[in-house]
Amino acid sequence: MRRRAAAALVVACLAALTGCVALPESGPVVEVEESRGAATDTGGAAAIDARPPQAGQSAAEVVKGFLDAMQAWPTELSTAKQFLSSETRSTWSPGGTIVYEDALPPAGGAARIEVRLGGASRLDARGAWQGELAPTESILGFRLVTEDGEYRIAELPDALVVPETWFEQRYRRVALYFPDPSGSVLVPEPVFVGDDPTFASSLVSGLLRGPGRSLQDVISTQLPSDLRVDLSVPVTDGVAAISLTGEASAFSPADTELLFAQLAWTLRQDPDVDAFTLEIDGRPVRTAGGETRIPVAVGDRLDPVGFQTDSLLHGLRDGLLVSGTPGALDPVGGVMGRVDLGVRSVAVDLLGTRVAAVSEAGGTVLLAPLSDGEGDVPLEDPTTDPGLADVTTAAVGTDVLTPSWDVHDRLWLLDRTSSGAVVSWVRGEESGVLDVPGVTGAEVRDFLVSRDGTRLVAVVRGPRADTIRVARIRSDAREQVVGASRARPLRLDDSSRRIRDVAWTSTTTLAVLNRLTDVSAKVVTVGVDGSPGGLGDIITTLSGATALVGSPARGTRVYAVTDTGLADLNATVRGPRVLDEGLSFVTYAG
Amino acid sequence: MAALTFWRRSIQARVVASTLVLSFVVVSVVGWFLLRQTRDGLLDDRVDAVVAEALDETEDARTRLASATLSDVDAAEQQRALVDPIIQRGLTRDFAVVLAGPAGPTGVAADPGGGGATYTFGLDRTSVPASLVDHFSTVATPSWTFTTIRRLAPDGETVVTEPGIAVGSQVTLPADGRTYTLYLLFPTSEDEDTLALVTRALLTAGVLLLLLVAGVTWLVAQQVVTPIRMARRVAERLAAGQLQERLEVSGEDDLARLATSFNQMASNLQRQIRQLEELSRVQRRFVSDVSHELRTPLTTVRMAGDVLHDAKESFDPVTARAAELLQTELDRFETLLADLLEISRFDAGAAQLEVDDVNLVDVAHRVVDSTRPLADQRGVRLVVRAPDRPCLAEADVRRVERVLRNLVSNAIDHAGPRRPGATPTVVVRVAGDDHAAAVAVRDHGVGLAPGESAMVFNRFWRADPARARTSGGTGLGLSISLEDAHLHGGWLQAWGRPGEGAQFRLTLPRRNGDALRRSPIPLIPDDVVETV
Repeated sequence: MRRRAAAALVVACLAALTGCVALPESGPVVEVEESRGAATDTGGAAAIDARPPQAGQSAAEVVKGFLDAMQAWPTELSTAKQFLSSETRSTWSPGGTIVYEDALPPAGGAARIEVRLGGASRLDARGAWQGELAPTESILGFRLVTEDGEYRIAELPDALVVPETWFEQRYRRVALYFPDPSGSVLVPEPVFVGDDPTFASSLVSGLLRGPGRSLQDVISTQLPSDLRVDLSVPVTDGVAAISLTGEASAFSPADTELLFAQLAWTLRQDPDVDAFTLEIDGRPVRTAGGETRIPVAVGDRLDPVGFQTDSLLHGLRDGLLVSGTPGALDPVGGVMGRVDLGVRSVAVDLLGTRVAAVSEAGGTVLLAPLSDGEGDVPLEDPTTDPGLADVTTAAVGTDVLTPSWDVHDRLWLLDRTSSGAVVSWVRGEESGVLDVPGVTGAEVRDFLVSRDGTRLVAVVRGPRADTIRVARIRSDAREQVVGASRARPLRLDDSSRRIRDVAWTSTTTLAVLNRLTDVSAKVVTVGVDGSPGGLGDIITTLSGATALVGSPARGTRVYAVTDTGLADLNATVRGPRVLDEGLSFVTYAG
Repeated sequence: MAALTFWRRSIQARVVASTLVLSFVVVSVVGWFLLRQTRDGLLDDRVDAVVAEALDETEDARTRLASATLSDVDAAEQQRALVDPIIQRGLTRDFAVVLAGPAGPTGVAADPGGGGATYTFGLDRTSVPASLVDHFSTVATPSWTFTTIRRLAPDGETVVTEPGIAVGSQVTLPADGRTYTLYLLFPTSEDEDTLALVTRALLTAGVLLLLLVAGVTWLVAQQVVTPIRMARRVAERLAAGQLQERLEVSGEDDLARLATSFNQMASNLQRQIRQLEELSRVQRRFVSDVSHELRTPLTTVRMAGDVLHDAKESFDPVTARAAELLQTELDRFETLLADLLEISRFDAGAAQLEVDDVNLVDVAHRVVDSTRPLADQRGVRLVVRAPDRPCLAEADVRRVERVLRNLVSNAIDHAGPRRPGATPTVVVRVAGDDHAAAVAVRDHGVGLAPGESAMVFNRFWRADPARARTSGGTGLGLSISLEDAHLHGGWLQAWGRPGEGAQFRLTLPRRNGDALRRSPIPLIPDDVVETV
């Protein structure tokens, strides 16, 4: 008996040992405490939970419910799609956005419902502003069918239809950056993107869609058009993981740098993004240094406002060229700082090395170095100034407006001849005349050329009101100007009758000085794409303002030139105006 | 049987075996406990790690879904785009992925075997346990359970199974707003390998430990048992009479002191035995000397007595009667002296056998004939029952005759009638075979009380101390007879029962020196009814 018990004990021990060695292959289901991440950032706007369709709704209620459901925030369409018929649900995809100021209630019969919108504008799939809708387009038609006893929408516009207030609170004006044909500078293309977790994804998707045919030769892109975002661009810990799928050939190092610059400039508009990684078909794209994590600060050399540009104010005082900051403008150390050459306006190039000056009569454009090392003390006899030898005549004309410089070192000129405006350019020994439909031959009050050299903004005098027209300048890979697109008028406030001046406030927005009365003026901002400036931009009324001083470079202030001095338009509380005695003309570089 | 004997005799074997069994049990329990702890620790760590990784994947998937733009409307495409990177990561980080498609229009997706599931190539989708699938039949929190992961081997046919952990969590696709269930299956084979390694190490250590314990125990037992064995051998020799045997004493430990004590005990025993032997020898010598010394004066007294006896006719009756008594007592004194001398010869070991083939039947007849006068005088009938053939034994006829005469005289002394009124009879029975010859003397006297059958051979023993010796016995006869029997290597045994008489049986071996095994005549007479 004892022996048997001992044997049983041994067997039990061995069984227990072997039982220990095996890992379990079944067991109870254990629930895990899930640490929910922080609530989705909705950009400060209220989150809106869409309301699904209710049983027994009428046709008009279904359409109204659908329009309301599209306002879900953060954006989601799965609830709105429940208002669609099963067939439409799988195919409908909003190809753009319609933003309206107000809408009449849905009206119509059981099979067709119409919604009349007021003040509606359209954005394309990228989010680019397409302008206002025509009155006929402002009537949205919905065809309804009956499914399981409920009305469902079978036909509808392929756009997200949202009210303007909702849109302005939740969408940000940003830019997609594309290189110009020469690949030496990035050109911003303004778009509106919802400020929700899809922000980065939308930016990258917009870049992938490319500039489109209408902007051929104006801008190009380094992102092959047959690539697409693989699901999304999630941003974690400040790093946006860009994963693209599709066919892509190998990039040259220069192309890669341009590609990274495009992505970096575009993505740096998302404050959450510090860096990004790029994978194409699962293969990481590396920098020349082998890095896969690319900070969004790269690509400074392709800055749309020029690399390391001059940020000083330049002006004319007593006929001499002065530079500096407001209240501290001093004559420059060049010939124009010493000798009054009798000029009425000047344009300093982006690097602050040369200055183009238009003579008092407007018939001559002089070119002189900004500084020549001779100091700023005038000689007793100015005619013996040694710097006069460096002053050349760049162009002659009838009535040349203040010229503009671009990053390609081109000097843009607009001569108001008797037969209307003539646009020309000068670069070194080269020069040329550019036919800009809509501007050439018109009566132009003011004109600007963007620093990237792709946009020409002209204030055209009309019989009753002035308009601002924007034309795109086409060039080739060797930075040669090859043409310009037809200038498109920008939609401005109805009260804008006469425009005194226009200035850049950013690469994609303009400040416009409207004349209200002889003594008062109003400053409004408008996007170069025609979109309204929106809230938070400069809208202010000034008395005695005659001109605007602005620069697209970040961090530069916009000033209004008034009778009493310069008024800082960026300041929330308007400070005392800085008066510079005898200041007759002020401008930034460019 | 040899093993059993060894087991019974060897303390060492038992000590080693019991220590081994005990150590085995202890090592097993400790090993079991250690393995259990190791396994639980490994599993806990692994579960924590995989749950964290799975939640990371889910969180990552949710982030990516939340970042997906509205233009992506194809749910199937979105599903692939969602799960492809997870599957790719799974291939490098060794986990399998199943993204189960939605079951109904609004339904929650749970069934990995259903259509629309996207999963790691080669994975058997039934690897996701049904309990987990049930758990995710409604919107549920992430959960995990243990499972068996089945995969197709690279050859596409054999199924590889391994234990694993299945973690499930749910994600909602923005494209169709439905809930999908993401199952991640993490194999635990590595932990199993680790556990197997630990197990092997523990087993090896355990076996080595057991061997060590066995060796140590064997060594210790050896050191303890060896002196005990020596003590046992010495004790055996001492018991066999080799009183000079002593244990070897080395050192000062307990065993050495035991040996010293043992040796002292042996010395004391030896000394006392020697003293007793000496005392006994002196006593015997004294008896022998006294006997011898008494013979010479007795001879003189005898001659004087004979003269007086011969002249008793001339004495007056009183004197003649005195001479008569003197003669009688002198006879008894001589007999006593002769017996004493005989006894002292036995004690001194001086008794010599003169063996010859003796026919016990003849001896019986001779003795009966010689004692018949005495029997007649007592009115006792003597009967000899002997076979026709001779019953031979190698013996000293003089001694055998003396023994038999002594027995017959005793029987006549104590004879009684078998039945009331009958003649008292003493039966002398003789029998023999190839191995032994025996003669038994039966009487029907008062018999022997229980215990007396062994005492009858004691020197000067009498059943009733008050009773006088009628036949002139010295009290040494049965003692001498017993010594004679022993001298022949034979037996002299007594049987008696109160009121049923007694029987004395002398058994002699056929050949002098042979060992006796049985007697041809039973000790208990045939005519006695054996009572239980």
